[in-house]
Amino acid sequence: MQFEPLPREAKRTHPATAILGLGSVGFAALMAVATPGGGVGLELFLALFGLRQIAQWYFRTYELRPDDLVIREGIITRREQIVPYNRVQQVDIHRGLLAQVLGLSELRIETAGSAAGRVQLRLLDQATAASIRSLVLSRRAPGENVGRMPRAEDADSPPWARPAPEATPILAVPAARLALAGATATLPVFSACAAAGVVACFAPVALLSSTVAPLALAGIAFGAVALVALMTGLSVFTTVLQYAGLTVSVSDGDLRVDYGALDKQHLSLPRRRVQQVSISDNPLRRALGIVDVTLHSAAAPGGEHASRLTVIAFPRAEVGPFLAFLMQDPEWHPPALQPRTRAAHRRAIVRRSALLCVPAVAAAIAFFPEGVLSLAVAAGAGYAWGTVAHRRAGHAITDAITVFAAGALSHRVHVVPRRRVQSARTTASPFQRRAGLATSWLDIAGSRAPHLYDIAAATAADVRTYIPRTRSERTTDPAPSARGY
Amino acid sequence: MDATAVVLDGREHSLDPRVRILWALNSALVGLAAGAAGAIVCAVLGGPAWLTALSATAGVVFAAIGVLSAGALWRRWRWRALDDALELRHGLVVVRESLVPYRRIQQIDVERGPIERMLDLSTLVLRTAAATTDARLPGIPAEHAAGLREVLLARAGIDDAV
Repeated sequence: MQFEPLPREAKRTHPATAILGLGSVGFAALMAVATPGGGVGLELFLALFGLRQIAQWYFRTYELRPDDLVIREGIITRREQIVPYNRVQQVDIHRGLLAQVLGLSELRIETAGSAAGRVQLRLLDQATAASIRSLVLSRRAPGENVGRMPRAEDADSPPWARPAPEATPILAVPAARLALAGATATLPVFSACAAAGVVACFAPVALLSSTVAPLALAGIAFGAVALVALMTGLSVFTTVLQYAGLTVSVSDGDLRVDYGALDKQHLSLPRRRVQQVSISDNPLRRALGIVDVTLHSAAAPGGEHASRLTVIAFPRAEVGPFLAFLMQDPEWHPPALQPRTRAAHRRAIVRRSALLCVPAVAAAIAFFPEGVLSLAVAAGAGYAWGTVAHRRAGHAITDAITVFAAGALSHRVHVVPRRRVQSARTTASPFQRRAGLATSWLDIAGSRAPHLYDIAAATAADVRTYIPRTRSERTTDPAPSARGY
Repeated sequence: MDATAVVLDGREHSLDPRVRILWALNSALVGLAAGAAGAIVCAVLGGPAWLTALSATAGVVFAAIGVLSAGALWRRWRWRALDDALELRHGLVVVRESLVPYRRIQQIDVERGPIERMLDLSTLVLRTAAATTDARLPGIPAEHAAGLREVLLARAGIDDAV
């Protein structure tokens, strides 16, 4: 890709940014010409709306200074926003269909905290957007790579004039695996379960009664299969289209994720900005060996990809090496999970059985006395569900990270670096207290707090008092019971 | 009571007893106002009499629960200022415990509502980079709030902490 030398003075975004305004004004003019003598209300509204859009584009400028980006905007109330490069969390380039046709890009720069720190440069030409991204990403916190911080004497060869660091691809997801991920997404799996349920309920009725022909059963079964096929096809189609050409690459410590056919996304996140990694799957995906890997940054949640970046259809076998890369330690391997206690197993079964017993009790009352069997079915299903959930749940704590894993149908593993934990909490309901259990929460910037239900109360207390502190601080107030890790 | 001594001793503290009055008044006002509003709306719109009565009763019950539980809530509230972190423990039904290291503090707010001003109390709210951090310290006597805040801020982190 071509990199342009970036201007030092304040610049506007590409004029095409105001395309909506121009279109609106043009349409108003066309209407005024085409229908002379008609009402002017709509034309006036369209024209004013268009002029406002154009003025907004005209009065909005960006300036790339050595250490920060300055945005000035506003027609009447002027606003000046300064974004220091070393506080940038995430830089994304988005190219919609129109932008692709016109050779343009939309650039979004995220800082930590509220959405007010988000800068969107809508529609820059492609080369400029790429140059700005590489400029912003090339700036690190002071001291981290001093050699690349811009200085006055550096003006002869600014970073963007040097060859951009090569991006090394580390993972490419083929379309076939995307299709598998699409087929095992929530929508097709849920519709398959619903269809199977309907057929299962209807089958005994159809088979026992002589009046309803087996033909009706065949019709229902065919309808169910067709519905599932349709949902699966839809999910596969949208997934493949949305994530076409999904690749993960590394460039100078930054993670790049590129994908999309009609809507191209080029997301980048500096490795040192990763706040949390979560790995999720469901039983079907587990059988196929694929997971979703989500990287969370401290950017404010909201917006399309703000604060997280998901790689779908990630091969399970690659997760370990990928985490080792994020940890910057090739020798690193995922720690073994500590199982929850027997009391947690009991609670997992009781909670799920209680949930399933609500419809079962209704069925038992409605179809007394045969319906009582449904209670046994609910209890059995609750036992199986709870046991699977219990087997897949657990935690692991090392000096560097905390791992929380839970969930049977939708399984999720949170990997939280210890130095990202802002504070820690435990909560305990009366039921949990009676069983000697608690819920452990870790508060991190930018996303919801990862948590683990029904961890032993003593372990939860250790996690709370040990994890948020740094090693040096620990010596001032040791948590002796935490030594066991 | 010297606020500096409070921060460094690492002992367990309960809140100022006047906070019970604050909580009781708060829930009484909210409960009675909600009950009255519901009853009035019901009466004006011509709803059945039992609904009006139910709404008023619900408000009174809510207020009563709030007033009666204020004391128990206060007895359960404990906070501790360790060398490097603030520890809180509170909650009647769901017991909540949290630990916030001082170096993660981004900002400390002192809040004083109308009832708190009347009782001469303040609420200290510690904020970190995580929105989910639970570190509200209610019932701090107003004369100590500023000092406590200074002492905690002096120990706050200097980097961007994210």
